[in-house]
Amino acid sequence: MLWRDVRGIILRTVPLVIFLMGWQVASYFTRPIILPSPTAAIGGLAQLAIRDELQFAILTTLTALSLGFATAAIMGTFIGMLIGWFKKAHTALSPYVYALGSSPSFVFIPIIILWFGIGFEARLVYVIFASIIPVIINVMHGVRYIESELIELAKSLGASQLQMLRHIVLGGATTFLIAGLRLGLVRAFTATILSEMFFRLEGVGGLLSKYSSVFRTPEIFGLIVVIISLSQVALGVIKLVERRLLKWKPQIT
Amino acid sequence: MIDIIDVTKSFLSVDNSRLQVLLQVNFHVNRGEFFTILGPNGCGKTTLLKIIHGLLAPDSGSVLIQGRPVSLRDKTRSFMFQSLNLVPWKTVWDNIALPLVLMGQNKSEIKEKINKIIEFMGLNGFEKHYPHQLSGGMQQKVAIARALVTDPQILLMDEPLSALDAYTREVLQDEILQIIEKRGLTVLYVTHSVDEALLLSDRICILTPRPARIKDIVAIDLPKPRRVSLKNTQEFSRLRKIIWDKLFS
Ligand SMILES: Nc1ncnc2c1ncn2[C@@H]1O[C@H](COP(=O)(O)OP(=O)(O)OP(=O)(O)O)[C@@H](O)[C@H]1O
Ligand SMILES: [Mg+2]
Repeated sequence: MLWRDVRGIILRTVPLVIFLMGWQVASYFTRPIILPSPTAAIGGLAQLAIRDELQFAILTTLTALSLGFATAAIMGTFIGMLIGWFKKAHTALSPYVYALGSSPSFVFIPIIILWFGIGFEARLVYVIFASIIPVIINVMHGVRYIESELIELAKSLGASQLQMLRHIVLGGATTFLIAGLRLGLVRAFTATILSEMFFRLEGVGGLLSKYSSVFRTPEIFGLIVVIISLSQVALGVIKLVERRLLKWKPQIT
Repeated sequence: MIDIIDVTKSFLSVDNSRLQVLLQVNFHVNRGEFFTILGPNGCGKTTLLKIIHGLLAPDSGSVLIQGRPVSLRDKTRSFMFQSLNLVPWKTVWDNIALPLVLMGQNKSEIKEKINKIIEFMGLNGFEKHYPHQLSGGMQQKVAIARALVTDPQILLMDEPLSALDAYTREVLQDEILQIIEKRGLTVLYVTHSVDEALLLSDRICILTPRPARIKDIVAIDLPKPRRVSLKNTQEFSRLRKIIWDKLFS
């Protein structure tokens, strides 16, 4: 490890330590039900972990998130490519895609509950629905801004439309796809937690809801930290995907 | 083998006026012939070559290959772009493999052909590199390899050696000559180098500045097989002078 990396880690840890210390100090002057100390929050989490509640909840949350988001990523890439590539499809469909993309997805919750219930399927549908639009929009853009020289190359080689999509268009849209995946993931994560809180109580979101209703503040704080950590893990996965998909790019440092 | 009949082409310019690029270009290229197009910058050489391959449609006139209208689906032709058009996210290997993959050839066949052409072009050790990791000259070699790997009957090359150093250029000129002689290729070639044109061509077509018309077509009857050493002969100097004079007149 380089000194630069070490220094980076230290620099990043400083605010966290200061924050935790401030929290601890503040908690001395506050009633625990309003602001429990960080150690109390950790204790609350430990209680959950001992009863296996926490592990199970995390697993449930990650299952819905990864399954829903992977489906959205694949379907979104596919749909985005088709809408981006075929001019008529773009003219006909893009306004509706944008309309869906700019309205809050939770307005569809009642309908989703009506159609799919409040179980796993409903959560999955909601996660897909919430996160697919940014993927579609970005891939669509990526396809439309693809370098004309590469299209010309594929033409010169006598490529069919399908070959063109597979060998040129898909690769050309990866930079945009990654951007879409980032946005989509944030939405997917929000949708997962939201659906766990407002459909049947499940997963980490369900726990949060449950302990909120009985004012168990240490657990609430602990769960919030868990949720933030999970989002960081998820974004880390996207970073890995990005590195894998974009390793052909010249590095600007 | 190739007939270019009354080809005329204009582009829409920025200010919506028409930019006339090609004006009634007519010529015929025989099977096995090396036909070079020479002309000043921006006169329309690339445009002409793209029309011959079917990448651009002429405003009027037509291109016939063996009597039939040119089609992009015909995979016996290879086109090498002046701008190279390498696929940035594909490695050297995958770039060269692309035409074969699109033809649906099987893996072992592809592997054999690519190994051969990589060896031939001196690209060994760079198979896994991405285009941006190569020098301009090497990128050009990859584009040449990609054009040759399908074993075409007709080769269209737009300034294929322009980014190479003088030494590599001569080596490749020699190699191109050998492939062409061996395979009996028909070649349409664009270059700015009069020496290169003389060395390689059976006939040289000189275009006027834009809008390009044919100024002259000169047959080069230097003896074959030709080697780079030919450049030092008197006959070569005589032809060089003729071509230069026609370019400037
Ligand atoms: N797609 C296009 N749209 C508008 N104008 C174009 C287009 N392609 C080429 N032109 C114009 O047509 C003219 C001929 O271009 P072309 O690329 O054929 O020249 P060239 O002879 O190959 O030049 P060079 O020797 O520099 O490669 C140029 O003036 C160029 O600006
Ligand atoms: Mg040109």
